[in-house]
Amino acid sequence: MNTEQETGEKPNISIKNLDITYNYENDSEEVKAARDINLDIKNGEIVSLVGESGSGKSTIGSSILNLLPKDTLTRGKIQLDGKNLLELPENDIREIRGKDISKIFQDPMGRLNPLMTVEQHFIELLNEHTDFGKEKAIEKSIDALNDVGIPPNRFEDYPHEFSGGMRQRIMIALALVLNPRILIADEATTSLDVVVQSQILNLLRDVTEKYNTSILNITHNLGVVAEISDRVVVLYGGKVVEKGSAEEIFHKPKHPYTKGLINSVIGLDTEELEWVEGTPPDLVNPPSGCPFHPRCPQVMEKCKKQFPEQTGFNDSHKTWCHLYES
Amino acid sequence: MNEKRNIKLWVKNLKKYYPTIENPLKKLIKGQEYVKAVDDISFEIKKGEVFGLVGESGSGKTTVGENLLMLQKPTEGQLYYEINEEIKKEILEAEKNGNKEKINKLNKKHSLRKRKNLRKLRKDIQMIFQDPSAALNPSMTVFESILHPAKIHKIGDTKEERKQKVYNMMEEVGLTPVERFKDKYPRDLSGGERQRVIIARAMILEPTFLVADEPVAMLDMSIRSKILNLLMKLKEEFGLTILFITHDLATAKLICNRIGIMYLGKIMELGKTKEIFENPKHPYTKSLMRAIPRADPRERERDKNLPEGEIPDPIDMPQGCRYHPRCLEATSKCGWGPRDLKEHIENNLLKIYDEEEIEEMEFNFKEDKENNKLEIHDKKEICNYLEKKKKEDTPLMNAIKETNKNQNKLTIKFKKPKEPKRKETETRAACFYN
Amino acid sequence: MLKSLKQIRDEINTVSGYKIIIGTSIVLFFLFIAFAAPHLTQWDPEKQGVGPRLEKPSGEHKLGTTYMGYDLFSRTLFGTRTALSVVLIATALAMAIGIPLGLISGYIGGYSDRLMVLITDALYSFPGILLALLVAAILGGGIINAALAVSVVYIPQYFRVIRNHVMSVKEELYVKGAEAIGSPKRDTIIKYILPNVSQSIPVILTLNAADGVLTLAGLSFLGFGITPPTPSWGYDLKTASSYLGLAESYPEVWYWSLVPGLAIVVLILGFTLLGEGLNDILNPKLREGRRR
Repeated sequence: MNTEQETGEKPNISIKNLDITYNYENDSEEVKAARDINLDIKNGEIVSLVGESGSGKSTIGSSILNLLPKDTLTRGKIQLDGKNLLELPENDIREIRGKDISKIFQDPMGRLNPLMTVEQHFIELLNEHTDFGKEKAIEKSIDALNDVGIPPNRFEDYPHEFSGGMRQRIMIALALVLNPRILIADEATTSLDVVVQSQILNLLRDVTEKYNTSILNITHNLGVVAEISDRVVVLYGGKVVEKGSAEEIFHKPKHPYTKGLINSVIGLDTEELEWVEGTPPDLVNPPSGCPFHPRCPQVMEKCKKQFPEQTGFNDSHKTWCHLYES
Repeated sequence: MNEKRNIKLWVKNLKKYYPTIENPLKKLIKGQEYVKAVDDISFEIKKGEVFGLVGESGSGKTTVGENLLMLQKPTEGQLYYEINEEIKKEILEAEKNGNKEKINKLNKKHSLRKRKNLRKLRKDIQMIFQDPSAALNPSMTVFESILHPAKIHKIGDTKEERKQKVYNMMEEVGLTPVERFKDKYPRDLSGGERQRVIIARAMILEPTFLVADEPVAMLDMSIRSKILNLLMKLKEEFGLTILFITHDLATAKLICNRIGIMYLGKIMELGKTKEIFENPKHPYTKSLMRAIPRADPRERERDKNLPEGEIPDPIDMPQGCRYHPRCLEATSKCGWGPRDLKEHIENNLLKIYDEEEIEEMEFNFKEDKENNKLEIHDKKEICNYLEKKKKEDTPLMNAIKETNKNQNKLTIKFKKPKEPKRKETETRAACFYN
Repeated sequence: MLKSLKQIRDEINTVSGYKIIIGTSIVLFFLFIAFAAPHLTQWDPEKQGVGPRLEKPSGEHKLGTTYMGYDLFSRTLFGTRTALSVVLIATALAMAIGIPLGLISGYIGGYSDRLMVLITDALYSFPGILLALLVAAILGGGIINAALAVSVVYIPQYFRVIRNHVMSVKEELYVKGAEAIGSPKRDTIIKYILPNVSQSIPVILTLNAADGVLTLAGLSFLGFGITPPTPSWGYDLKTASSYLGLAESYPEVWYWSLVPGLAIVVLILGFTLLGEGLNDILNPKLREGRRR
């Protein structure tokens, strides 16, 4: 419906009309986690998915690598090189994971095998996807670690011998060693301290520049979003409510939710506490019409009845809100 | 009487050490070592103020909070509760004169560690936890969770009165309509609602002192402010004194009257919020401020001039000023020693050797902590590197006292390390720079 | 609780659901027999010489008679009563002692806890049947004494499972929260810890019951615990087994040993299926691990 062809450049990955429903086949209530998501990510671009818990941001990230639970229904298309990732058999997806698309998580310790050294992690990954000999694999790994600032003398250490930030660096090195086209970062800096968070964000920006990798950054932290994003997609209740360049979202927000979200950030120059009233929507029984209407300060009668059409302000900046419909 | 007691809490030389070795056999052989989670900190919280304790994870800030609530036993130090300047003076004097009997007597009367009527104090001092989903009993309903403390401390005379109090408190914290929330289990609530239950559970005891340990860190951005606002509202209504523990300087700036900045178990800087933000003294404070992400893409800066690395392992505390290995303004007297040099050489290996050589090489570093020197088996490359490096004016190189070259051994001796102290009256920051 | 019921409903069509259904049916079947035994047979199981010795199954003696002239059908029916009551008393006893001990020891910790662990581990490391034999030999026969002997074997199991679970639950923030509101130790244990460790109880209970049936049978097989003439599967199996070698001269003995043996096996199967099924549902982590 809202397929976007913003520029002539071919997108790296393209999500079209994606719907995701949890608990589709068993007796529990269906959770409508994402509805009608459209998103293109270009080469070397950093796109942030922002939203509260329950906005569907992590679900979308997981759907790209087919990491969702078994009884989940996905409709729509996630296209990479003309292939629809949602329809690929498990073996082909496995090929793509780590090679074309890789992912880093909030909790690196949970993703690293405590019984394997850093070296073994790299060798295993490289053996699965390449036919490098051992020597070349080690050389590649040391290069990748060097890029993220881990000295080579730590190559044979175990994950628990590293600090939290170092582990996240190792995860990034593992994610980038095969030079993937897209890196999905799911709350990758959330559990880190501010100083380390800043270091990791710098690192992410540097490596995307160096390898021309795109990043899909999933977070609820608007500070992080402002630091690294080229474009921002704001999600609410499983729907996209606004998208645009970082500059547009932060300086000319249109949707009342985006405005509320930006105002509620506590920064060094904040003088008064502001927030968005109400609680996140129940995705089992989502509100009718625009999902934000029960919390919206500018709610109108028609907001309760139907989800608004897209309003475009320019090629990149778009919102879905009845306030702007002509 | 209480009006005159304007010092709500005086934390004096609080220490909390955890033993690292539990195996008694190993203890015999190696001797007990400790993690110094809180290492001799002192501060006071005035009645009615919000005092912020700010630090990264691993700084010991949560340990301080749990010690105040007697959830853990302090290793050393006293926590004087509800005192005034006079009593403080008395304690300091008795200490100066070495009058142990008097100190004991005063401690019994004023220190949380020695006082008898802890049960009343348990009611008076309450805590709010960081992770609201973990801090609520999953098998108790909202109503039961809030009711239980009231039952323990016999708030309200009849069952009916107690019930009414719980409902009133639920309304107070915004869990309305009460009917909708009272029979819910924690898993059916959102993060913000859970945190409200925890706040209600603490406030039903009508405490006068609240320890809030990162109360909004796990919540969504959009409702953090609302919970903070609720806390501030309750503070006004109940005349609370709050110890606000956080890693977020921006939040601390907004709601705290005074702030203490902790790093590795020590307070690095302490002062009025306004003074600290207008004129930060400690290099660590400055770095923390620079690191806060700005929610504005226009202010995007690539080079924020941040310290390298992360908070080190407290088992192996750096000597001298504990921040010196990461400090951007460190000088030669900040406590550099053999370990720093060893790390420096290891981290710069790539610049000295080829990768293949490193693989085969074994370095023979010998650290001598007592005499503050490092012995290196003579390697021509390392010597050359050091010679070259020594000409550069870096604090690490300037801290070297003497270098001895002896046959095949290179001995590098450092100046004796000293730790900067924060004197409560004179300087705000524990830094040599001031 | 509501949630677990809902989960059970969701699970009913899966393998664990079938395990529970079959297990429960078997156990209920035996319970029915235990209650209805007097109405199902006219013979007194404790009376010798109710008919000729070693008679083949007939209308009168549905499963024939034994060498001593007991009615085998009646003894098997009433043996269910013995087995179930011993197992019931034994698990109740083991729970009544093992669970509180585990709760208190785990919560308080320290040296007393270490001592308790040492003692129970020592007991646990004994082969169950040996321990039960020892106690049974000291106490003598009878249903209560047999139950005591069996329960001694299971107290350490309840203790260990509950204590280890307490050790992890007591690190939860909500236990710290209870301490922060000044909750007395007793309240903390009963209101904050017990409800959150109790999901492991049904599983041990059913698995122990299965094991208890076997231990009891073993005891009476060896001539301890239940002594004749009280009907007992183990004892009947033993008397039958001594004739097994003489099958040529006594061709009837195959069902004499088969029937009590089968009763033991099926009841154990029932308890085990129930326990496994419950385990699958109540410990979802374990279940996921298995699926992968």
